[in-house]
Amino acid sequence: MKIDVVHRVLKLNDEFAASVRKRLLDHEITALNLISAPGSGKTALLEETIGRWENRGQLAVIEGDPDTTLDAERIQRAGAAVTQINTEGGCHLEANLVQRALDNFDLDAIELLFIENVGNLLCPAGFDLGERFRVAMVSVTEGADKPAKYPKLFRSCDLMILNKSDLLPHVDFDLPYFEHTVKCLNPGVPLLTVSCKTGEGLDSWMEWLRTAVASTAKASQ
Amino acid sequence: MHELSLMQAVLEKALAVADEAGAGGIIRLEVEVGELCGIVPEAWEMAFEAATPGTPLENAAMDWRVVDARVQCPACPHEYSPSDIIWECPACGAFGGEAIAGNDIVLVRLEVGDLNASVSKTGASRDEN
Repeated sequence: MKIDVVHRVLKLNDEFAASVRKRLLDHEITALNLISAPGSGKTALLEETIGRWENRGQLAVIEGDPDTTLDAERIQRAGAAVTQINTEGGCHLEANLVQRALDNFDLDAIELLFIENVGNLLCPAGFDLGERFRVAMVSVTEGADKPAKYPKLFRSCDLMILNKSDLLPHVDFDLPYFEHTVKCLNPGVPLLTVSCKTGEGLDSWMEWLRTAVASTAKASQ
Repeated sequence: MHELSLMQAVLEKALAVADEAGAGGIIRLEVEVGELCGIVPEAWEMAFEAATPGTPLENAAMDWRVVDARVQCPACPHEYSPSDIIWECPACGAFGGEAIAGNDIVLVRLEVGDLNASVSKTGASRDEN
């Protein structure tokens, strides 16, 4: 006997994501899903961000890692509320994990939530976490071909960050090719070039965040 | 690596549907995998092999096929199947756009039957060897 099913496998994740999105909007929280390869500087960027945000008490971070609480400890030292999700080998976060992690925060106190995804350019791109903005990051040491190799992420991001710009003079990073690929994959996506070492571009990043937070306040009214 | 978690979601749904139908066992699953899902064929099949032992899906077969990507041009009404990772509308030349097909993994159909019959058939062929 044959049974027609026609069930979208990502439907369950999408339902959790919709519920997360509504919960965040109800609390006027701007959530960013930060996706990059391991070691490109996600946690360092968050440490710099926490240090520069006017009121650290309004910041929260969900740290996604296969193992350890090392990144969560760094975030805690920097002064933001943090909760760690260990995926125990899993290569990406899913929306039900984020839904559960939100229970660990005082949502009324938070205005900006960073979800630091598991370091991976491929798998996280397929899972909506209920974020308001998806931020993709590449560091110059990884090579300029990353957007072409992992197009799904770079097509779907709302902001693109190129990190470790201080190392540009020391590596063969083809910046025009990188910019061209990003522009073709995702026309109109803003590209910020930053260095957490020298501080280059961080003012623009903070400005982008403030605009993002203001847009959430407007959307929730 | 995400193949395993996606496969588990497929299998959970298959088991739930079979259970609801009061089926003795699952003989075959038909699955569609979107071209844009980043599924590696070998990893997908390995995930099926890894996730089914000890479940009512142990003797099931999986038929799966890739669904081509379709893109809606952001600038004109044209829909097309992209031939490159850079989506460039063949009608107007605009880049980017929205994927309207090829982004989903869908459990399409189940073939269910008497699990004992299926198991004994396997057993019989082993006896002959």
